[in-house]
Amino acid sequence: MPFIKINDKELEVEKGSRLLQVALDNGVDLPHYCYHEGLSIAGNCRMCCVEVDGMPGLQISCNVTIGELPQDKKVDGKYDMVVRTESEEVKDSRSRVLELLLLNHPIDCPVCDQAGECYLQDYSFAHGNAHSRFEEEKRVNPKKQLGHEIWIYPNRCVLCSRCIRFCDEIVGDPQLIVRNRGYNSIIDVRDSQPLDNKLSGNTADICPVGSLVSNDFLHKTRVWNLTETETICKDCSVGCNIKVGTTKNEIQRIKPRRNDEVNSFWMCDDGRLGYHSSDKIERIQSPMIKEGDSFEPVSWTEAFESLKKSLLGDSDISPDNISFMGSANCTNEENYLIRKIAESLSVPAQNLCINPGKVEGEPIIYKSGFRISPDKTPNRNGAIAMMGLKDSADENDPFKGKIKAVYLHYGATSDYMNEANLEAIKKLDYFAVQSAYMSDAAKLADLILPASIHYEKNGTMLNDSGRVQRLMNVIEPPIGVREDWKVLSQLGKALGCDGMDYKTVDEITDEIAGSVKGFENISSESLGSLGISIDSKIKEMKEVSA
Amino acid sequence: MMEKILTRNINIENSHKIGTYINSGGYDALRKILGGLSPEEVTDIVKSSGLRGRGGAGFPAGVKWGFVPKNTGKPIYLVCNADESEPGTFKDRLMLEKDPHMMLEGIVIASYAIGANTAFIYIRGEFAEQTKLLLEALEEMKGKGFLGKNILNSGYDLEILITRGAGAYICGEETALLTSLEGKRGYPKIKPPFPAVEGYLGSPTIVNNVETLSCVPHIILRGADWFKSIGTEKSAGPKLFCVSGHVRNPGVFEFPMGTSLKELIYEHAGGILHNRKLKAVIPGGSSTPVLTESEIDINLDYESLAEAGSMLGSAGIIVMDEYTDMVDACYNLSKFYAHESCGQCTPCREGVPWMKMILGRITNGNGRRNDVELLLDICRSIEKRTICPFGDAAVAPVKSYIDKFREEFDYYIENKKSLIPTESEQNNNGN
Repeated sequence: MPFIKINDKELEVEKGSRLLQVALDNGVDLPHYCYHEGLSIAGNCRMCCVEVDGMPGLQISCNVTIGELPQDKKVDGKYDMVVRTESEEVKDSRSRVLELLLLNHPIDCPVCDQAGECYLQDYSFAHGNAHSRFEEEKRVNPKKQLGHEIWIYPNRCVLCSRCIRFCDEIVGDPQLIVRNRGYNSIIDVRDSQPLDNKLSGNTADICPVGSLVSNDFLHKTRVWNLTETETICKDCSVGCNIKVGTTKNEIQRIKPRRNDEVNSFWMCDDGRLGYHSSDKIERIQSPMIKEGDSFEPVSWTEAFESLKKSLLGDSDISPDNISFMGSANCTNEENYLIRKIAESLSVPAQNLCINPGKVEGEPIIYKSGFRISPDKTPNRNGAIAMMGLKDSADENDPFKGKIKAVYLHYGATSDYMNEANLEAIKKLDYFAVQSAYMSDAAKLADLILPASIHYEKNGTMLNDSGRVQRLMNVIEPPIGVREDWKVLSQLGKALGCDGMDYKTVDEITDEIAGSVKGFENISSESLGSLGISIDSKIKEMKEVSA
Repeated sequence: MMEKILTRNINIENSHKIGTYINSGGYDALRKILGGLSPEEVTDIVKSSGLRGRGGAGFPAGVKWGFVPKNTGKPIYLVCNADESEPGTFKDRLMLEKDPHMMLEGIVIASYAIGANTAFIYIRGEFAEQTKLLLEALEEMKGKGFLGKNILNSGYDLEILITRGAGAYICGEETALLTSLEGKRGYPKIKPPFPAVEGYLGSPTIVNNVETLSCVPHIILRGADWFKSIGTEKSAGPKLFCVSGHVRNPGVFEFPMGTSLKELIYEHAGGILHNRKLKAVIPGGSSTPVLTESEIDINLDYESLAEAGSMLGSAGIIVMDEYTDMVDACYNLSKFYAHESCGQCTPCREGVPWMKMILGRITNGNGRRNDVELLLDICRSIEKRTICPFGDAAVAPVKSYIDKFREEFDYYIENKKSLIPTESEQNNNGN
C-alpha cells in the first residue's frame, strides 16, 4: 500500500487512487471545478493544482495517480509521494485561476440561485482577490432554457464540462456540447434539440456554479433558507436516496444523495419533480362517512366506532370475508400494523393483500447502469414481506370470491385502480379507505380516513434490490391529518387489538425486526442514512420455501 | 554545399510521381526491411540514427516508437501529422506537393516497425490540392504492391487512410489531432496516458510529422551512422528550414542541422529586402521566442536555440526588418492565438484573449501605464498551466517581445503611437 504525505498528514492509500480524491477523503480541502467523482477526468479548470515532490511545476491533482515507488526511490526513505497543497506557489496559482474565471463573470450572486452553495463564491472568498484587473468589455451571452428542467446562464459558466460529461458518460446521450471555440465557447444543446433526457436535472446539481440551474427551483428561495432532510424517493421501486429542501413546511426542491449501492450521485427528473403530484390533489383533512350520496365529516372517534360496528357488528360480515389491503406506496411499519390488526381479528392469511399500485412502461437503464423502474411504487417488496405474501402483489385479490368487506390503505397520490376493480368495489357490502385525497376508490367508500403522504412519513422501505432504507418526514401533515402509523395503531386499539401502544415509529421497526424473517438486523440506528441490504437473506428464504 | 536528401527531386518535372521517386531509389528501403529486417531492428536503426521529431518538440522518433506496448490485444495505429499550421511553416506542404512518396514510404516503414496495420494521414483542411495528390499517390502505391494486403509478398498488410482537418490550429497538437481523428471536437487530452499507450480510440498510437517520416527511408537505406554524420551530435540529419518575412529570397531550404541562421538569412535567403537592417528573427514558428539582431549568429539545432532561450520548433524562420513595429507584430500574433485557443483550459481560454485585448488597446493608443506589467503577469497565469503546450506557445511571443523590445511598448503607451515610423514617415525621412 502506498504511503504518502499530504502537507503534514501521513496516509496509507490504495494503489491507483487519485490524489485529489485521497485529499478530499482525508479532509484536505482542495478546490476544484471540473473534477467530479462520478465522472471521467477532464483536467481543464486547473484549480486543483498541487506541488508533488519529483514532478515538475504544478500538477493537476485530479490526474495524479498514486503508485508505489521502489524502496531506493522513496522520498525521505519512506514516502511514495509527498504533496504540498498550501505552498506559496499553489496559493498563487489558485488565485490566478480564480481571477481568470471571474474576468467575465457577472457577479450577479444576489439574483443567482447557486449563491450559498457556489464553488465560485466559496473559493473566491477563500482563495481569490478582492479586485479584478480586467478593464475590458465583458463577454455577454443571453440565458436560455435548454430543456424542461434546465436553464443556462452562460455568463456564469466556467466551462468545466461536467454537464457534458454527465450526458456522455452517465446518460449515454450526448445532448450537451460546447458551441464555438476558445473565448467564445458556450455550453449548448446539440442540433437545437432540447435537453429532454430524464436525468437532465442532475446537470444543475453537478454544475459547480450558477450556470445550469433548475427550472423548478428558479428564484423560489435562497438556499440558506432551506431545511434539508435526508430521505428516499417515492416515485419508483429503485428507492433513490435524496435530500429534500423545505421552507415553512413546503417542499422547495429535491436533490439526489449519494448512495453507491442504489443511485450513485443521481436521480431522475420524475422523482425530482414527483413531489408536485400532491399539488394536484385536494387533501382529505377529516374522517368522513358516506351519507346517501355525500360524505359527512366525523371525528376520529366516531370514524373508528363506525368501522368497528361495520366490521364486527354486522351479521353478514365475518373474519372470513373481510380483506385487508396494504400498500406498496406505504412504509413497512404501516403494512405491518395492517397485518397485525387483521391477524388479531382472526382474518385468514389468504384475505391479506396489497394494492396493485402503478406499474407502467419499460425499465430504463442508462449507460452508467442508473435505473428507472416501471414499478412506480417505492415499497412493493416491503409491503409483500410485511403482509406475509409470497412474492406477488396480485396474490389474494380481494375483489374476487366471497369477500364482502375491504379495508384499503390507498397510499398513492394519483389514481391507479382499474375499471374491473372499481366495479368489484361497488358490489362490496362495506368498503373503508385510508386515502390522502378523494381518489377513484375513495369515492366509492363507506368510510374514509385521511392519510399522510410519502414526504410526511417516517418509517422504512425495502427497495427492489433488497435494501431496507429509512424514510424521514420532511414536512408535517396538514391540519386534521395524522401520520398513517398513528392512525393504524389507534384504529387497532379501537378494534380491540393488543399491543398497539407505540410511542414512536421506531418501536414498530424494532417489532418487525423481531418477527419478520429477513429483517432481523433492521433498526433505525442500524440503517443509518444509507440503509442495509437484506437481499441475500430474502433470496435464502425464497430458496428454502421453494 | 551539402547533398540534398529530402529535396533531391523537387526541381524535377513530375517529382511527385512514383516513377520519379523509384528512379532515385524510392521504395528500396521498404524492400530492404520487408526482405529481412524485424520491426525491432527497424526501430533500433531509427533509434540509433538520432532522428528527432521535426514537428516542433524534437522528441527522438525511435524512442517514441519503442513506447508502444506489446501484446495489448488492441490494434496499433500510426498517424502522420500533416496538419502543418504553425505560422511561418511550410516545409511539409513542399514535401506533400513535390515528393509525397518519400513520406509514404516512411509511413509504411514506421507502421511496420510499430506493428500497425492501419495508418492515418491527418492533413490540414486547407491542403485540398495536396490531398488530391496524396490520393493519387496512394493509388500508385497500390499499383506497385507497396500498400494493401501482403505488401511485396511479405505477409505484411497496411492500409493508409486520409483525414482532412477542419481548420483548427490546435489539431496539429498530437492529442487534439487524435480526438479530431476520432470524430470529436479537437480538444487536447490530458497526459498521462500518452498516445503511444492510449491514443486513437484508446489504442496505442504513434504520431509522427511529415518531415520526420520522410527521413526514415534514407536512414534505413544508408544507415544510422550515415544519418548521424549529418548535423550536430545531438541534432542529427538534414533539416528543412522555412524562411519568410523581409528577405529577398523566401522559401524552403534544406541544410544539415546546425546550419548558421545568419548564413541562411544572408546567403541563401538573399538578405534583407531593400537593404534594410535586420531587427528580429522568429526561429521556429510563431510560438518560439524571438531573437534580436545581436542573437542571430547562432546555429540552427535544438540545443543551440534552447541555450539562447528559444526553440528550433518547426524551423519556421520569420525575418523582420528594422521598420517592423514589434508591438503591432505582437498584437498580430496574440490575435491568432486568441482565435485558435480551443477553450478547454481556464488560463488559455480567458488569459490569451485578455492579452489580445490589452495589446489591441495599446496599438489603438489607449494603453495604460501598468499594461506591460499586467501582460507579463497574465503570461505567468497561463504558462505551464494548461493541458497542452498551446498556452506556452501563446505566451512565448508576448514575453519575448516585451523582454527584448520593451522600449517600443513603453513608447506606444506613453505617446499613444508607435516608435517605428510609418511607411510615409519613412519615405519623408528619405527625402
